[in-house]
Amino acid sequence: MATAARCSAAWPTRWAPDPRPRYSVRVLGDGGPDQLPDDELVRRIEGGRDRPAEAALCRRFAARIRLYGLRHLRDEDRAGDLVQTVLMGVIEACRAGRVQEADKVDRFILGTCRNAAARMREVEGRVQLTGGDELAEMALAEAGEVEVIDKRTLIRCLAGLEARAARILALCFQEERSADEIAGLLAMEPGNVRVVRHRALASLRRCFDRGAAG
Amino acid sequence: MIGGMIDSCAAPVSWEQLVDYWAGELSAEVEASLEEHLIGCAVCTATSARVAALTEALRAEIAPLLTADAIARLRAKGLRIAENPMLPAERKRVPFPADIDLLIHRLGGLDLTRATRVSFSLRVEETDHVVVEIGDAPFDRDSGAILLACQHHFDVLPPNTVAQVRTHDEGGSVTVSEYTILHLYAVT
Repeated sequence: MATAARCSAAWPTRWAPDPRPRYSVRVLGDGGPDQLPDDELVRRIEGGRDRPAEAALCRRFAARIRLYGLRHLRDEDRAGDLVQTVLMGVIEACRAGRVQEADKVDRFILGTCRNAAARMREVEGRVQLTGGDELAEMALAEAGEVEVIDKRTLIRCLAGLEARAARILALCFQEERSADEIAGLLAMEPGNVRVVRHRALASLRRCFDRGAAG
Repeated sequence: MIGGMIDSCAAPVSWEQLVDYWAGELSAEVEASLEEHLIGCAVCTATSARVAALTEALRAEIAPLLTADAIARLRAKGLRIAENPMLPAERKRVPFPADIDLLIHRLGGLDLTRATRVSFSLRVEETDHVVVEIGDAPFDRDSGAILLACQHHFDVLPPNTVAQVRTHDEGGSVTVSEYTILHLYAVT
């Protein structure tokens, strides 16, 4: 069975499309619906109720939707609500044959994310899901695990950074200051602030990964 | 990797771009383009998740120096807060009970009425290693104190610390005040 590895090559320039193929294909053997490309999953869901295909679609996109929600709603619970809302809407659209370009279901999902997140930003608190309970439960079940950051490890790793780097992270992510504002406060160039910031986060990441490795 | 499938990305998003994304510092157009890529790419989503885990954990952390208003908001959220008043040059053992969420060291005895800026550092007493350095500490001019917030998970740091407050006044002079805090963390 052909196995599609999923990556669109649109980044970084949507205005000058990457000429490389949208999918790379490897043959690894029969792994079930998780091995199918997006368009084949959409076609299997359409009309009937191919639950393995529906679960595979949820599994494939749940983490991506959650991250979109976390970025735009800034709350893990509400990001989880977005995962359920979007996946329920997408599965229902697939069942009803409303996804017209099956090979671009990722764009359909992103559009659904944008609309749903915009609606959620207009209301306080959690959303009340109105779709079928079974579908909602499946979407949630496929959302996957979220990395839990241990606070003690975070503090230990932060203490290992240079004081200026730790301060830049605090100004950016605790005080929500832009690189330009931080540059003004610390008498640095904005470009240098960005360099220190991404290096500091990379250093934190390595510190966590070493911790996870024992 | 999804199921048994090996994923690859022909044009992976860089770590730097993802940090800017999670910092909210991309233009709307670039952000939209990046999100179009992320929604279709498991590889870059995995990298984005590794960045997001850190940035969102940092956002959830309580800042080391707080204003009285910020403390009131945390108290209103239900945090159990205790205060430890200290004076300059004081050296003090400070228990941090298990039933308290946040211990506020009120670093007092400061004349902030003419202050233009207050800078702060916290260093390990034994090694002089600086663990926090803030050039523009938040302060209330009339309070005569800086509020240092301590949490239970700070117990991974050495317990004996020296907090230094430098008050820069209108005339250009700097007053240095130090407080030695010997933390006694509850076993949790």
